[in-house]
Amino acid sequence: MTALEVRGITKAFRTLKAVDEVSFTVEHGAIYGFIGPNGAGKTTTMRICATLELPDRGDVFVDGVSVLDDPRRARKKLGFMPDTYGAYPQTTIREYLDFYARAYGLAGKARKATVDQVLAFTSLAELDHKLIHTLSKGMKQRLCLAKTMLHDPSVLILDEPAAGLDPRARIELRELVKALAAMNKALLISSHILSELAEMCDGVAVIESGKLLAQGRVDAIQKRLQPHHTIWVRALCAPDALEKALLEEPDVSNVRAERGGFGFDYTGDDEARARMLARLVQRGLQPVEFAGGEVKLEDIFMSLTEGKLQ
Amino acid sequence: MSPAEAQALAGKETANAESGFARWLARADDRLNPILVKEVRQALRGRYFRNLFWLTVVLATGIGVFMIFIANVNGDVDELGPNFFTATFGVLSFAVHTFVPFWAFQSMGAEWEENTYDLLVISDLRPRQMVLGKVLAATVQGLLYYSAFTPFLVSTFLMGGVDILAIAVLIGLSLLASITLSFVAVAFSTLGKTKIVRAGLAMLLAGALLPMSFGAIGFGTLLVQESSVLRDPDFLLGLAFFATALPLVSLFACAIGCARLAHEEENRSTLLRILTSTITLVTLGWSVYVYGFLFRGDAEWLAALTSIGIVASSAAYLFFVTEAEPFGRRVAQQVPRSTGLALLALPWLPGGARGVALIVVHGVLAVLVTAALALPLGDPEVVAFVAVFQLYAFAIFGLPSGIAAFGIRSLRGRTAVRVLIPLGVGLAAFLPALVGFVADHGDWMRFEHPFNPVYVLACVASQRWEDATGGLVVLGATVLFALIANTKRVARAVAETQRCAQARREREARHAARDAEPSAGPSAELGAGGASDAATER
Repeated sequence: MTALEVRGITKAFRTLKAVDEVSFTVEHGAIYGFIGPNGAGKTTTMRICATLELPDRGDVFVDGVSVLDDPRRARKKLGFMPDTYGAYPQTTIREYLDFYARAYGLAGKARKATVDQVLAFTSLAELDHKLIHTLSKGMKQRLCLAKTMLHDPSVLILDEPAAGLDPRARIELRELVKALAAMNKALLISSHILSELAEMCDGVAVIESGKLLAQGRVDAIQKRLQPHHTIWVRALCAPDALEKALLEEPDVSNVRAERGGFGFDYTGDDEARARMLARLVQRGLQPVEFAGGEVKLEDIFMSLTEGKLQ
Repeated sequence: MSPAEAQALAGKETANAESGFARWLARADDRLNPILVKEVRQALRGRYFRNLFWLTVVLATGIGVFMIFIANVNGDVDELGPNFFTATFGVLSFAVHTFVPFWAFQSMGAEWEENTYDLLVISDLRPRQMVLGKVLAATVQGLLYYSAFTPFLVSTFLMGGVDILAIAVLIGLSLLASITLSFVAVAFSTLGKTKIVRAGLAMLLAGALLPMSFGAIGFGTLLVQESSVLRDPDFLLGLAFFATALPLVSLFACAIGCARLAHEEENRSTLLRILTSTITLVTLGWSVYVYGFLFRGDAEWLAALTSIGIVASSAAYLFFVTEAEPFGRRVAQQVPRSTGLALLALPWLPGGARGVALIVVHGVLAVLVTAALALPLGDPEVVAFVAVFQLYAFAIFGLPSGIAAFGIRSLRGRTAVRVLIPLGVGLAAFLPALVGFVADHGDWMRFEHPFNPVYVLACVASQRWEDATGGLVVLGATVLFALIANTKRVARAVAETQRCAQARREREARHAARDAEPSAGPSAELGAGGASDAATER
């Protein structure tokens, strides 16, 4: 069964259509990135999935349960980490998690064991007696993730989980997310830090002005958008010689000077690319750097979106 | 058995008893409302409660010592008990009737202000648990105040001049009032989520709670200084009415809070409608008791009590008649499967037209009960008064909401109608008075005109039928228009209710047919496990 199915949801705030016929699915064990400019409708979509907003049309199914027909049952199956959330003052980490464990109906030893488990998973066990308001942003994000995992949901919706985190905290969060996917949980993550998403996502959905522009695997979208790769090469030979050689190569177009070398668009496959590099070496051009070809989420994002503000 | 063995056995028994007690404690702990646990932890660690608690205790002690000192200096110890009581109860009254409910208001509001509401609402907690948790936490705080102040209050009995029964009655009622005010404060808090609205609500609440505290002090002073009132039947009747009204208000406030916190697709109206009907029934019950048994033949009591029911329900009617008409998806699935039952339940199901039907049901009920009581005693004017009162309710709520239902669908539009209805009643009374002032029409200037419901009702109550004629004509015309405006609307609501009942029957028949399939088909060979797996998947 599909873990999360968003089926044609539409939501308008007065005259503004925040979400317009958005549909996508996320399977168990998959990490799905949800990207779009500010005001694109990401948070509204996620809040509808989390039963916090009602769509004007469409529905969302969490493990087959409609968030409209049975929001209580859907809530049991999903964990939501909002982009902005508060923590109770005068409360320690353990008390906070204990409260939510109680709220999710956990009792007795099971409650304590679950709290211990999520504390260990998020590496907060040693800080469990610290008051929440004394925690750093990264620690608070971990705590919210720990809270989100308490009832063992099969679908996790994380809205900008990496926002405001330092590089170390981001890497740690990424590892936690990967570990959750390895536990067969479906994850829908929105982020502005596209490089973060690219490293962990199995698929992405790109949204702008409430409309879904593309969805699927990153390389598949890239292929659909751009049939060529962008490659950059630097050689010890004279620049003119390198440029001439590149222009003579098949499958090469749009050669331009870049960062002390040349960038160009390439439509050939990996084997053809290897043969081209061999030829450059044989011609004595002495290539020292030959990079690119990988799919960049930033490129997809920039190709798809127009930066429209709503 | 050796002493060592006996000791070991005794130790084991103690350990068993302890572990049994510990188990009991653990089970009790599991059953505690999560919000209560959290709030008490926070309150005890926070400054608001601790500072206020010690401040009030120190204040009460200081006032007590000062009063004893003054009484000794003046040699006037006879009045020491009542004065000491009034002063101490005064401090307690502010604590439990103002600070504690206000804390409950702030605590509920903090869920929005501190951005914790979303996380709370997507947990497994039901709205009822949230509201009760906040009120229970406030009650725990209140009980701490009572435990600190009760020794002071009881000591006034030893000082003389204060009846112990009066102290017990006052503390009991005060506790009941404190709990009710906390319910009201929490319900009030759920009405606004933005900062500006919350600030307004906070001011309104504080403005209402402070007079409550002063009122409680006044009541306490009366009870202590004139404790003989506890043997006065009229006073006891008032007390009993008060004691039945407070739990009803608490329940009503709790239902409002729950409705506000519930998911938009949930049925947020039926519980409130049932409680409104309960209020109507309780006031009618009081009418029966007071008129039929206590003050037999006192028509004013009957008229007043049956009117209280509808006045108390008016705020709820305002929301019921302006609700969105069609059922939400989730509510549609909950309509009773039997068409007859669904139609019987219709006035208590969500929707504006069904709200109008509820007013009609309540009105008919009130008139029938009044007629059954008053006609045998030869008081037809009471029946007329109650009937006119109920017709006004139908006209005031039915006409504007009926007209608005034709074009207004949005929440904003419905909110505007909710404001316009009470405003319209006020304008109907005020504008003709203004016209009377301009045209120098003496009666109209004094609000004695046919558009003023209060004047018309006063005429009916005092049987000045000639004066009431104009008003009754206006009322009749309004009722007629209200009927016209609502007929199609109510018919649509009836049809929708029938459709939903039928859809539910069909849905359940489909499910039953699907459930029966595995046992008849080849999958039956899978056995119970296979069938249950299939059912789970469905």
